[in-house]
Amino acid sequence: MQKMANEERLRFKVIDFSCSTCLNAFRKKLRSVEGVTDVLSNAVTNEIYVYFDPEIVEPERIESTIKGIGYKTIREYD
Amino acid sequence: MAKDPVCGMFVEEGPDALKAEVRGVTYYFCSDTCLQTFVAPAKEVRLLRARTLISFALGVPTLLITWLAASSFTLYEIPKNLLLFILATPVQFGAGWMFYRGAWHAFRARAANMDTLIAIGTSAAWLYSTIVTFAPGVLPQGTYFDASTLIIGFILLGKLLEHTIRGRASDSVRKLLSLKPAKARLLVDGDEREVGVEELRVGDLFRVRPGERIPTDGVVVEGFSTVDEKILTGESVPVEKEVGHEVFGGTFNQTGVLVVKATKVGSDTALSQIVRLVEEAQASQAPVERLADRVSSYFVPIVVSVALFSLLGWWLIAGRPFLFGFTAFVAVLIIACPCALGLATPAAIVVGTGKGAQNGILVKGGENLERAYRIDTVVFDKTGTLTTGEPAVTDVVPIGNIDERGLISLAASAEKGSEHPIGRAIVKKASELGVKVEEPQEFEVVPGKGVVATLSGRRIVLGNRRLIEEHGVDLRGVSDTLNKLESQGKTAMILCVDKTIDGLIGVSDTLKPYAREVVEQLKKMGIRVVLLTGDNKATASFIAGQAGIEEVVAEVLPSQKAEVVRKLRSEGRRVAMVGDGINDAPALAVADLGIAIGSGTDIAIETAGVVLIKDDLRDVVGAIRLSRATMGKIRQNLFWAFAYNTLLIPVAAFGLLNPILAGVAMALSSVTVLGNSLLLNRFVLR
Repeated sequence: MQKMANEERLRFKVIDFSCSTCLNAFRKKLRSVEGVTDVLSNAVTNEIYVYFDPEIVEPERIESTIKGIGYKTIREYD
Repeated sequence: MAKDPVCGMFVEEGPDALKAEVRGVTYYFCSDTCLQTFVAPAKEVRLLRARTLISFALGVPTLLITWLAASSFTLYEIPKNLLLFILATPVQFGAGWMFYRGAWHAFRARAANMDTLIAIGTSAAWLYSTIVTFAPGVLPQGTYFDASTLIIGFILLGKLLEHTIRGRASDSVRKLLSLKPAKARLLVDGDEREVGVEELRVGDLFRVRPGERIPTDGVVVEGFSTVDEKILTGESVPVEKEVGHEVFGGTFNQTGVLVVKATKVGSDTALSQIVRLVEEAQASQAPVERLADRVSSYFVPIVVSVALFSLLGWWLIAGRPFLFGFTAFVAVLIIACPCALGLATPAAIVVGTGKGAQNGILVKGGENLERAYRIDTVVFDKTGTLTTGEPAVTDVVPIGNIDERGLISLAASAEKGSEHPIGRAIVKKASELGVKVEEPQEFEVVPGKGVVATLSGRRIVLGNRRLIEEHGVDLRGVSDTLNKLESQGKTAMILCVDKTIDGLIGVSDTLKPYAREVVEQLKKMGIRVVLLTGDNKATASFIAGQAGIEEVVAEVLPSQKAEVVRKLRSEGRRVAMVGDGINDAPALAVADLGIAIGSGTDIAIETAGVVLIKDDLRDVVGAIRLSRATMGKIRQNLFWAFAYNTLLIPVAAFGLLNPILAGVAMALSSVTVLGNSLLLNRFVLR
């Protein structure tokens, strides 16, 4: 995984028990956001890692995209 | 001052402060948002538990009344079917509401998932029974309220069990993080002050007392201690630390007080980097997982078709009662939920990579795990990988009246001031043997040849063939020994005292511990082992022979190593290259799997698919065995998921599976897959 220098990461956890194969939906939706360089998800912990270029997209935009998908999520901090 | 566990801010503790108590620990928060974020997951679990309880509390009576009570049964004058409706409806739309939500979200994303199947299956059962209840005669008699409620109950119960197991499966990473200490003893002008770890900056001095965890990465500037670095390396033997040594945040200081200068803080520390690497490894999809995902995306539409086909088939074509077909329809939808299929691969990878990380074996992602599993050839770089990379005395041949100890004593005294690796090897040997080392009166280095020294008035020449010949000493008497040492690739040093040869000392690079066992184990696993080196053939064959390796590629320039690996691959072999990660980077990159060994905490080696933190060759075998065990687990998981989800579909379609049992099987499938993956934790790496 080659990460770019100016890349930042946000971490979210889907805490919604109605999420079964929802991570696919998150990945698909987030990857379509301009400035998002990669999205990884862990199907066991239901965590999503969003890598993005902060010069192109603001973290708030990513958070609102995540909220827009509908499942209950929380943002996690490193 | 307390730390907000969500955003990391410092908060005053006080009676008015926002706080929450979890398992006896009180946490303080900067804002209501942080507090809500913190308690949200626990709240979801409580909600799920309540929904499960309600489903069974109402579902079990529904089942009993459906099957045991006569159709004329009434309670408080409520007829049987209406009573069942009253029991089942809160379950359908209360406890089971989350399935509608999930199905709706999926629908909006133009997809269908397990929630879609459960929502359709249980709604169909509920709706059919409701029509029977309120419009008798429209449809054949019989209700399915017991099925709708208990299917929901069992699936919720499954999710609840799953939640616990998921937590345990991903424990390893969280355990690492929990070892990050929160406080540090900052030293300002010699005064100690307790601060939060976040406040430490590079260059700060801090003190660590015995029994404390080291707050961040740094260099020891004062003191001596032993430190347990197990959390980083998996090695349980403590490491001695003195001035100039590196120490790492999260490791455990045992015996002495250390003063440390911070070199890395926050997310740059070794522990943070490792946690991040493992997290990313666990979140990256393995090729086999992508396949499973593709399969499950076709799965749902196919299943719905099969379900409809069995309903219509039984009813219209086979002429069986509508109810029979309907039972088959619901059972097919429920049994076919593909969530165990989706968990089969990631569950095993999460547990497997976590297990590796606990033992200092970092596998970068599922893809590398799959590659490690397929390896049939392991290429070892020689110097520094299979060998220690530092010359050591291997042969001591005294000649005349002197013994081994006497010879080493003389040689070490002559080399005492030497900085040359060979000189250091001889001095080291002397200290191992515990022999006396004297201070030479005169000492001169002859570059590339040896040393000349004066010791108690005697002139000592210690060097190679050329140096001795230059001093006019005849070598014919020792030429056999000399040739033998050189044919083994060793450097032969000849010691003369006043022009008489007193003996020979053979020096060479030596194998690392366990090299022989590791080669043997790899061979037993059906793996071919190759030694790759820039050294001459004599040295290479001697080392290979000691390690038990038959295949040797010698006299390879560093720039050509990658070419050799590429050539092996072109022969159809699946090659793992083991190297130190710095000189061998190109070769690691072109191999099917690059294994960087002994990189310590420098885990950022981009070209390696597997990073071994410890300098222990046994971890090469450990990494391959772990990958094989994990892939084996994935295959088992896929089998179980497939068995539950697919093999039972025809059983359900033929009307032989009770829809409630389908719900039980469905719940069990995910639990089985997760539980089976947890068994990987018991895998013994050595």
